Order: sequence, then C-alpha cells, then structure tokens
Amino acid sequence: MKSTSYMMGFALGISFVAIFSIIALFVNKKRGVNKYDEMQERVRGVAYKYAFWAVIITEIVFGICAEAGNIIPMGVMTQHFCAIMIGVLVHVVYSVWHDAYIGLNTNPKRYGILCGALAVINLANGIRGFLNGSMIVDGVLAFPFVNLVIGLVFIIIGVEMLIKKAIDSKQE
Amino acid sequence: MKNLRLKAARAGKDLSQDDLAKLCGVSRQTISAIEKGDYNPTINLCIAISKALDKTLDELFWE
Repeated sequence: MKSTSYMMGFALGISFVAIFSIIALFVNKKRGVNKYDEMQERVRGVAYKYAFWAVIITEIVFGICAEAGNIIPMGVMTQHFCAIMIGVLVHVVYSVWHDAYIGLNTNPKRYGILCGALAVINLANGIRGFLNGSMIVDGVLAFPFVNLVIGLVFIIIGVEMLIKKAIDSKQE
Repeated sequence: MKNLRLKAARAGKDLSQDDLAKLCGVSRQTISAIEKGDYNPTINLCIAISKALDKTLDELFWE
C-alpha cells in the first residue's frame, strides 16, 4: 500500500494533466487548430482501431504474465500506463506515417519543439528515478519507469517525423 | 490507379499541390494521395476540386 502523500501527489499530477489537456483542447478548438480533412479523419480512425487492439493485446499479455507468477516485474500502475503508452505509440506512429497526425492549421515546428521538451522532461525524470533508486522497488519496476517509457515514445515519434519529412521533401 | 488527369489539370492552371489543397480546404498530402491513386475522395471533395480547377467531375474523375 502506497503512502497517502504519494497517492495525493499522484492524483494531483493526473488532475493537472487532465485540466491542462481540457484547456488545450478548448483553446485549440476555438482557434481552429487540429482540424483534419476527410483523408486524415479516415486514417486516424484506422489508427485508433490499431491502437485499441494494441492496448487490449498488451493488457492480456501483462495479465497472463501476472497470473503466471509476475514474469514481467512491474507494478500494477506501471503495467497499465505502459499499455496506454503502447496504444498512444501505435496511434501516433500510424497517423504520422500516413500524414494524418498534424492537423490542417497546426504548426509542425511548434509541435516538434513540444515533443522534444516532453521527451527531455520525462527522460530526465526517469533517469533521476533510476539514479535515486525509486525506479526499482523490491525488484519491481515502479512508476518512474513510465517516465522513461514516455520519453522514449516521444523520441520515437520525433525521429519518425524527421524521417517522414525527409521522404516527403524528396518526393515533392 | 494514378489520376493523371487531375495532375494535368492542376499543372494546366499552374497550381502547386499546396495551392490546390488550400483552395479545397484539405492538406497537401491528401491532394498528393488522390493524384497517386492512394486515396478515393468523397463526392464533396471531388466537387471542390472540380470547381477549383474549372473542370467537370467527368473530366477529372470518371474513367
């Protein structure tokens, strides 16, 4: 059982992200950012489908491993967040590769900078967790491992965007 | 199948893919995908493209 202060901090963190996301969605909708055309909407629908199955399969694998005696040494929260991040990765990688991730009025450079910043912040948090010993508790990967995973996800997305941009500029 | 008639009509109007995309309210990649035959546009987009290029639907999309 985690301490009350840990749970409070965790709930506050999640609440902050949720409130920030809702405000960002509201502001973007007002500014007309993140509008997608018909092809992009179709591709994003397929991407959501693949992401949905990726999360389901990952959760089943984690569940089987847990039943078989914790083959994957991860905390419950870490497992669920890793599954979510795998879904996010599948959705974004598919959308980026099929030109459906960046909306019609979205500035790709600004988005790239945001991705880079998120990658750096999360990787720094993950490395800090590894160095101060909070990443592995009692031989089990704890929540700071998720920061590392999020950082890696954003790096993969950034690299894919650069590759896609290089391919597109060759084709133009 | 590539839509060469669309590409020719666009070039005939001296428009880039980006220009045509802006006229139709879609992304450049969507115009590129239609020209390459990777995407079948809806009738609404076909009409928008036809109007932007001063062509009929038959001239651009009917085989």
